Amino acid sequence: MIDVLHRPGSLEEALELIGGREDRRVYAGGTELLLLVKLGLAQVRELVDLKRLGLDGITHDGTAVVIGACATHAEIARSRTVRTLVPALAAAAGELGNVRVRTTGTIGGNLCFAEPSSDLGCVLLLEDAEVELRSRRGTRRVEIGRFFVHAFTTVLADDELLVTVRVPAHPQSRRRATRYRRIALGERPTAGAGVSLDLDAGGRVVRARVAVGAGSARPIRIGEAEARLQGQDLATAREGAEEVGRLAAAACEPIRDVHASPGYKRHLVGVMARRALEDATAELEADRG
Amino acid sequence: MRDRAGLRLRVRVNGEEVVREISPGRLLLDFLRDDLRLTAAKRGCDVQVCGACTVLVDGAPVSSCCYLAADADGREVVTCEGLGRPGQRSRLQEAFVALGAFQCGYCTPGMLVAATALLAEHPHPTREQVAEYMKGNLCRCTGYARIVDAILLAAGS
Repeated sequence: MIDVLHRPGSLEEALELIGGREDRRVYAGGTELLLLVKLGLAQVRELVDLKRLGLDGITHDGTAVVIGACATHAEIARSRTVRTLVPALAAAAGELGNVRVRTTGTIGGNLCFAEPSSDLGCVLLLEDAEVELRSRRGTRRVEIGRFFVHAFTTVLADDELLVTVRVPAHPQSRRRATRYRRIALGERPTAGAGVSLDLDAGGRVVRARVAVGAGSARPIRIGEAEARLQGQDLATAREGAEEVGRLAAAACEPIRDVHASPGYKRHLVGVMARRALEDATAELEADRG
Repeated sequence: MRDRAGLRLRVRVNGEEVVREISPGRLLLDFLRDDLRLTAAKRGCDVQVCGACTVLVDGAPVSSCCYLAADADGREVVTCEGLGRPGQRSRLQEAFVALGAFQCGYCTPGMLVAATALLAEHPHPTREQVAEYMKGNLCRCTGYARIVDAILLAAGS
């Protein structure tokens, strides 16, 4: 059981403490880690608390919304910056788990735990987010799509900390709609899919993202579905909804869980991808008035 | 700073300043129930799903079964015992009694604490807002209808 609690007051101090010890783990909200400890699935003697490093800010630096790793889901859901510039992320954070999990759970913890039944990774993939990883060796930025390796596995080295999540803010000249749909029986989503479209001034799709999240081992993009939407006008994009659903269903890699078989999840993913595209095109239509 | 066993915790609980030595891994629920003998918060699922252990930390609901007491250092904790007193029940407590919004009562302290946080955030919630906010608090007896009714009654909605 836990018998040492380190409370570093600076990032440098925290980086000194991590790496090389299996029984020493970084800790913020504890929503996943404390469960593992209590269930006997993780042997942890020492915790390194990250909550005093000033990593909980949410800012906009001109090109991206920058979210500190220790920002809680409740803070992200409430943040005016996130709600305005990345509304799909605010919505996903506001639906995550339950109100108590949102009070304490952090975006960094959620991503680093890489629980397949989570929505945030998929929404961030739709938004082309990056994570910034820091160690004593230096800093690197990793696209979110390359961050997740498999269920519960990321590229994070054991001496690295995820310090910020960077979500590119929409260029003023473009309109973006990002819509994510998920099915949760209980608190952890069992399958999810989303679509993100940017329109140029002429009303054509200049950036299309289709991604499948919760329910697959890691969030993945569906390149064929994106290609079907790229360059289309809105009406043509919407006509592709059935096909986008079919492509997402065919390409995703659902895993079995207590709620649904892989085959049924595949079906759900197809339906949700289609509906997410319909939602996104309807939102962009409404904006054009 | 490195805290071994014997971490000194200073916290306000239901308005009273408490200073205790605790071990770093002490869960807030055990601290409240065993050290302070405040037994309203209950251990239910123990994995942050059922809500029976809900308490407020600086006004926000947390699962005290999955929250280190050390993290409450310097903060304000409110348990169901702090919501009212015998003869001076809170509006929510009155409404739960008036409508019989409980049966076995095991989930009730967590329900009352969560609902207190809900009404602080949304003083006049819709029925849907209540259901959405409270869906992380499980009750195996009532079927929820009276719990939602009681919260709406307390809110005057």
